[in-house]
Parts: sequence; C-alpha cells; structure tokens
Amino acid sequence: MGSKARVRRTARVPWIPIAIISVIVIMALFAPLLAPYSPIDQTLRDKLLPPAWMTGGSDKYFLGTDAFGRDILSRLIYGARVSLMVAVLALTVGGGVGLAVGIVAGYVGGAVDSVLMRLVDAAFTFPAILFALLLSVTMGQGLGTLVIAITLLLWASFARVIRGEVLSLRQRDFVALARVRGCSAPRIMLTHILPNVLNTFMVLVTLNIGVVIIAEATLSFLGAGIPPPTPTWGLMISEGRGRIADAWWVALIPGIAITLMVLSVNLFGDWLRDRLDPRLRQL
Amino acid sequence: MSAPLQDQGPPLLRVEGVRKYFALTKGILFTRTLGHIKAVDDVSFDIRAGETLGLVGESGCGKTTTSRMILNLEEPTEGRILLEGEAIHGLQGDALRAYRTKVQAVFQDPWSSLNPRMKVGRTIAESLIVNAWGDRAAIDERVRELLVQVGLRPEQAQQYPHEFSGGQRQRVALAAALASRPRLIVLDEPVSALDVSIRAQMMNLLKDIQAKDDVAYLLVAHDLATVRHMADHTVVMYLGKIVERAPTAALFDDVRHPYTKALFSAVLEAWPGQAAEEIELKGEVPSPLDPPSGCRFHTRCPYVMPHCSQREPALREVSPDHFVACHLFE
Amino acid sequence: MTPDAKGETVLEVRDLHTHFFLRRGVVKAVDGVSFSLRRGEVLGLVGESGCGKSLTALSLMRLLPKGGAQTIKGEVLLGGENILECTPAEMREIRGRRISMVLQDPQTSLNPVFAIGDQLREALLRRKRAPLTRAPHAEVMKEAVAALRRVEIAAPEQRISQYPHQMSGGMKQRVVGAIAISGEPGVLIADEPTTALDVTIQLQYLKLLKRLQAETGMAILFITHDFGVVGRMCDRVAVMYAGRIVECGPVRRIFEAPQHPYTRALIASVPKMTGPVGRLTTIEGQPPSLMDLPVGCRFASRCSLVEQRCLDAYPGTVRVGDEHTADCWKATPA
Repeated sequence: MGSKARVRRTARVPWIPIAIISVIVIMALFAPLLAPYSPIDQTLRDKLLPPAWMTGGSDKYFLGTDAFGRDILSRLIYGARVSLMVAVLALTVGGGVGLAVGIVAGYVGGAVDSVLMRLVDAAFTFPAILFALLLSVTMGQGLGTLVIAITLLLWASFARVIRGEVLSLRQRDFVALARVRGCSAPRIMLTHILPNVLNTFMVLVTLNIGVVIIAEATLSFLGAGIPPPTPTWGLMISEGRGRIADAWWVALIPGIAITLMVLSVNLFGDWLRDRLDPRLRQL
Repeated sequence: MSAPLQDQGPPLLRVEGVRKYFALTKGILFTRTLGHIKAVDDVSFDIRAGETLGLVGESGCGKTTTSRMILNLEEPTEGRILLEGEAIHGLQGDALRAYRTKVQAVFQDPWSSLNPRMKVGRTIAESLIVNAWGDRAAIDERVRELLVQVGLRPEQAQQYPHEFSGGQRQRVALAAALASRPRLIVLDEPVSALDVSIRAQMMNLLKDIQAKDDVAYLLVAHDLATVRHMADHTVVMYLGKIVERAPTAALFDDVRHPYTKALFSAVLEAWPGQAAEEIELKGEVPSPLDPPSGCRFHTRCPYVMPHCSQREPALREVSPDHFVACHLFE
Repeated sequence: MTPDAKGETVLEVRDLHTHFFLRRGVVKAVDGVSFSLRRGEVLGLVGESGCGKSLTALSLMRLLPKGGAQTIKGEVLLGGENILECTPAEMREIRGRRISMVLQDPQTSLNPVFAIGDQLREALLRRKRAPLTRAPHAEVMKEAVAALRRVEIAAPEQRISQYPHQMSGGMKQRVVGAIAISGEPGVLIADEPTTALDVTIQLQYLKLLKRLQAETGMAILFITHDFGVVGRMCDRVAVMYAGRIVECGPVRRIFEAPQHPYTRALIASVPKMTGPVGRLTTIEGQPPSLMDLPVGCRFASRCSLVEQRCLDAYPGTVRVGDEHTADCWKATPA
C-alpha cells in the first residue's frame, strides 16, 4: 500500500491548564493557610458586597460576600477541598468498579458478560437522584453518602464503554498468543487488556470530572449532599441562584471556578492520553 | 529436505479424527440452534519431530480452526489431538502449562500480534516468566539471545512494537514463540502479510532455526510456492476435509485431486512455462453450514461423476504415502 | 499482443511529484514518476509497501489522502489534457467516465446500508447526468442487471436487491468492478484488486478483467506487489522503489533480463513453483527514509554492485532495449 505517513498531533505540554489545576489543588490542600477568613463565619452587616474592584466593593472581601456576609474567596478555597475530594473519591470508586466490571465482562464473556451487562442496563434505568435522596435519609447527609450516590451514577457508563473496548481487544492476536504462552485469564486481563484500555479510562475520567462536580452541586442543592454551611462549589451556586439578578457574583464566581476546572482537566486529559500512547510519544 | 519415508518414528503430534462444529444460535436468553458450521470434519494427520507440515486451502477450508485446536484455543467437538502420545484437551494446571511450553505460534498479522503497550523484551520473556523458567537475570539473558537468533539487536528489547517494521515485528513474534524451546510452532500464514523481499528473509530464518533447534512447524498457508519451499509434507483441505495428503515433493510432482489441481493452476506464475492442464473453478466455495452431500467438491469439480454426490470418498493411498480422497482413484 | 498492435497513448504521466508536508518534514512519497499507458494495454506498477505506488494512483485520480499530501509538480495527460489543471467540478466529470478505479478491499468500497442495485443505479445515472429522481426506475434497474451480468454474476436479478454483507468477497469485488466500468472509462486503475481474494477466486477475477478489457479496449494500470499477477495480467511492467520508477519494460523482458539490480533481487526472492528448493535470495537492509532521501541512487545502500558514482549522483534513465528503461549507472544502453 501507499505511504502510511500521516500528520501526527504534537503533544504540547498544556501549561495553562496545569497551572490552573495546580492552583486549585494547592487551594484545596492548604485551605486553612490561604483563606483570609473562616468560610462559615457570618458577618451579616457585610452581606452581598460585590467584588473589590466594583463600586461598593470592599478591600476586605476581594471576591465579595454572599447573603450571609461570608467571604466568597474563603468559601471558594475551602470549597475546592470538598469538590476535589468528592471528585477523587467518586471517580476512583465508581471508575474503578466500572473498569473492573468492563474488563471482566468483555474478556470472560458468556454468562458472566450477560449478567454484568444486565446489571449495567439496570443501573442506567435507575433514578439516581431519587436513590441519593433515599440514601441521605437512611444514612444521613455527608461525604460518604455523596460518594456512594455518585459512584452508582458513574460505574455503569464506565463499564459499558470499557467493555466495548475490551471486546475488540480480545480479537487481537496478541491476546490469543498470550494464552498460547500460558498466561492465565487474570494475568491476561491485568497485563494485556488493562494497559490497553487505560487511555479510554483516562478520557472517561476527565470527561466525568465535570459530571461529578455538577452531580455534587445538584445533590447538595437538593439537600442530599454535603450539608450547609460546609462550602462546596455546587452548593455556592445553588445558594446564589436566587439572587442572580442583583448579586450575580455569588453564583457566577463558583461557576467560573467549575468551568475553569473542568476545562483544564479536559485539556490536561487530552495531553495525557497522547503521552500515554506510545505510538504518539515519539513526537 | 523431504524426510525419507522410512523415518517413521512415533509422531510428535497426532491429529485423530478431529471434528469441530460451531453451533449457529439465535437469541440471547432462550437460544435456538439454527445449524452447525462444520468447520473441520474428520481430519487426521501426524507431524513428526523436526519436520514441517504444510496445511493448504482457501478461506473457510478449516485450516485455521485446525491450528487453533492444536494450540488448545478451541476444543474439538469430536476426536483427539495427541502430543507425544498424550491427549492435549482437558489438560489442567501444571500439565497444561507444560503443554504451553511445547507448542507455540506465530500468526499472520504482525500489527496485531504484539501488545502495543508492552516492551518487546517483555513479550518475548512472557512464557518464561509465566512458567518461572529462571530468575530475572537469566530471563534477560535468554531474551537477548533470542533477539540475536532472529536477527535483531539485544538492546531492542527495550523498544515498543511501534518502533519496528512489519518484518521486524514478525521476527519478534518468532523470538517470543521460540523462548520456551517448543517442540512445535504453529505458523499461521507467517509471511503472507510481509513484502516480497522480507518474506524471503523470514522463510530463510525459519529454516535456519529448524535446522538448528530441531523444532517442528505446522505451516498454515494459502501460497503453494511458500509451502513447497518450507514443508516436508503437505495436507490440502477443502470445506473442512482433507482432500489430498502427501510428501511435498511427491505432491508437486504428481497432483491427483481435482481440487488440488485447480489450486495449482490458480497459482499465478510469473513464468508460466509448463503447459499444465488449466482448471478454472466455477462459482464459489459452498457454505460450510450446509456442505454438499457426498464429495464436498462435487459442485465445482470438472470431473464430477453421478455417484460423487451420493458417496463420500475416503482417503486412499494412491502411491506410497500419497493419499487422495476422490472417487476417480478407486 | 505486441506493443505495436496497441492503440494510441491514452494516459501519460510526466515527472509526477506528490509529497506529504508534515510538521517534522517532507515525505517524498512520489518523487518524479513518468510513464505512459496505451489503449488496450495493461501496465503493471510493482513495488513494496511504501514505494509510492498507491499514492501514484491516487494522484492520477486527484483523490489525495487528507493530511498534507500535495501534488507539487508534473503533468497527468489524459487524452492530451493535463488533468492536474482541471477544476474540482471538471474532475468529477472525468472520474468514473474517463478514468476509474478499483481498490483492494471490496468491503470498504461498497456502502453497507444500500442494496447492490441502488449503488449500481446511482453510478449509472451519474454517468448519464440524469437526476436521481426523474429516471424511470425499471429501465435503470434493467441496466443494472445487465451490468452485473457483464461481470459474470450469476442470477443478477436476485443479487440486485441484496446487500454487500450477503455476498462473498469475490462477488463484491465484481460489483465494485461493475460500478467502476459502468461509465465506460478509457483508463481503469486497479489497486491490488485481488489481494484480499482466495487464489481460485483471484484467477476468476483476473480472467474477467482481461475479458472486459478485450471488449472495451480500456487501458489498465494494475498496481500489485505480486509478480505472479504481473506475469498473468500485464503487457508491460514498471518497478517502483522509494518514490521512483527504477525499471520499466515489457513483461517478458523484465522477467527474463531485468536490468536494475533491485528488479533482479526482487524477482529472485520470490519462491518458485519449479526448480530447486533452496535458500531464497534476499535483499538486506531497508529502503531509505522518504524524508531523507540520498542524493545518489536510492537503492545504493542495499545494492551488491554499488560503486562510488552510485552514491554521488542519481543515475539517469537509460534506454536498455526496445521500450525498456532502467535507472542504473551500470545498465548498458541499447
């Protein structure tokens, strides 16, 4: 056949997204040192102050205050902590379960595959929000409940995508050859299948960070997430939602934070995928 | 080249009356069997240590299914396969692992044969690691030795498959197959995906290794010229059945079965010198789901006789060690 | 047939250059290819992976792959007209009607969701410039049946309503052929059309192509890596190496007295059906990188007859016989 040469994407290191992610991670890690105020202390006399650069803004509160007179900057910094914690935990647990289920279903096949995939179908038809509400009633509000609820929302979509990937991988000769060399099924899944679906997994993780942050916000808003007054970005948006006309900054600032975070993670994920793929690494 | 006929020691591998039917089913929960694809239907042959058996036929003739059964990737529906006198299906645990060290494979597609995420050294070492062949240093040493044996450089163990060309990948696949010092390597179209000049290199390499290591090959191929250069014995298959089986030299001197003749006349020679009778087959290979009655080739055979569609011809010895399944030779 | 019995030149390619412009450099995949094709003739274009034979074909069709490929130099004269200067609209008129193509994989050449008849009908109507909707259905379908019959498909009336997945590879390739020749093109480019087929089916297909050619007098550019196919199909053969044609001549001459060391080595490395069985001749080494071609002969690094002048400059095209040329310093001019 003709020349196989093709333009390959040069994976430039995405410095800006890395910087944004680093800032958010540092905010989360060192919140008590960085935040100028307590995120929950109310100063009602200073309520709904606009950011410092606007008329009426105060130098004391750089990003303004909310309806209870709490410093938005401090809440944003502490909120990063909760949001990231939820994202990391939910993606690790939910993504991990989905990855394992997808690999086993796709590789083992047969009855195991049928049963696992019916479970996935069931998970998709499940009203996740209702379940989360139920869970918060029985288990009480909190981080654990939130992570379990989001995990239940996530694992099935991971499992379905990963299984599809595994089904086509299983047809590749190197899998048959691994059997011929005497590899056991678990070994093949770990050394031959898993490394080849990690790309897809990373892409799924980055795509789902946004989903998790928004799910956390939704659940917190519905009262099934982290209970107030603990700040989370989602909760901050829902609290500012009613005052979007006169005090837009209360909702918009955490909104921008979420957008920046999700965008940065996606760009970083793209780059990571290119880097992880040895076929693209050379350039 | 071709082994003397007297040299009839016990075979390394014996395929005995093997059948493989794939059920064609419909439905997920309540399955219904619509029919059986008779991929391999009563096939028997032997492979002796250190020799090459060529398995020839067109797509759908069952040659790949046969090789997959020998590799223990598929269970035969009926019949058995014996390695050194021992049945290979149903082996468990250590016995299965021991079998895996004795029979290895190289497949056609060099782009699909290697795990893209694994350094080639690791791929080559895999069977050694799985079988706890030795410590790390010993395995590394063996990998370097194997790379040199297949004409690559020892330091290439650290590279990933995408850094190799198709021919080099096929050499890596061969090195991985050789690692456990197998007695038999199944070569499923090992050169057909390679360029002409690379093909010759690979064929020479395979012959050199056989001469040195005394390994037997089962060469699954569609190209008769390749088989002629590599194989001591040749088996020709059509629709799951063996139609002709003979020492390669004898077969190429004296083709008997009409299907084999058709295969030979379809070989496009750049130098069509000898004016052999030319048979152009009409139509296509019938479906293995519903193979023709009697002789399976009767629907396309230029010499078809009335009873061909009724009785199935048995493999008959027409000259020493040359077997043909055709009513013409009864 | 002798070359003299052939008709006039229908396609002439002069000094064709098609390069890939990539961020990391320029890949000179087709780098100065010239040949001509006469009416009723089959010219084989032979070479190994990456030698540029397929890209040459795509350049002639002006269907270059996306990703920086560009024809930067040369002429493609189809009936005297340089089609490299045609507008895209003119090119669409030319494709299918005057120059057509059959590719290796029939699976990807046919659309899986349309019946064979519909795909043929579209081709037939487009050739006639008839709008798809206004054509009398029955009449066009009759033509489609005739087209299938022409490529020797049994029971064409039934086949016409079938979908590609219901057909075997050989049958699909016949349908692709029927579509390709439906516009009665003067030139057919066949890019490895039988590589995916079984040997007995391959023979049927090649014979069919020959018969169709005898009927229509079209010229065929047959791209392959298989010398057996060349011996069976071609009148003349051009051997490509690293973006250039290194030898070109009548088939018998190329097989019996190859003049370029590459051709010689390539032919010697093919396993034969007769003669002694021994070690095969091989060509050691790798072709040069198309991004970093040597100034001298491109085969020099692998050639057993290499001399200093081979490394210093590219040999010109030497006429070594009747219609036989070779790009080699050591070739003796006729």
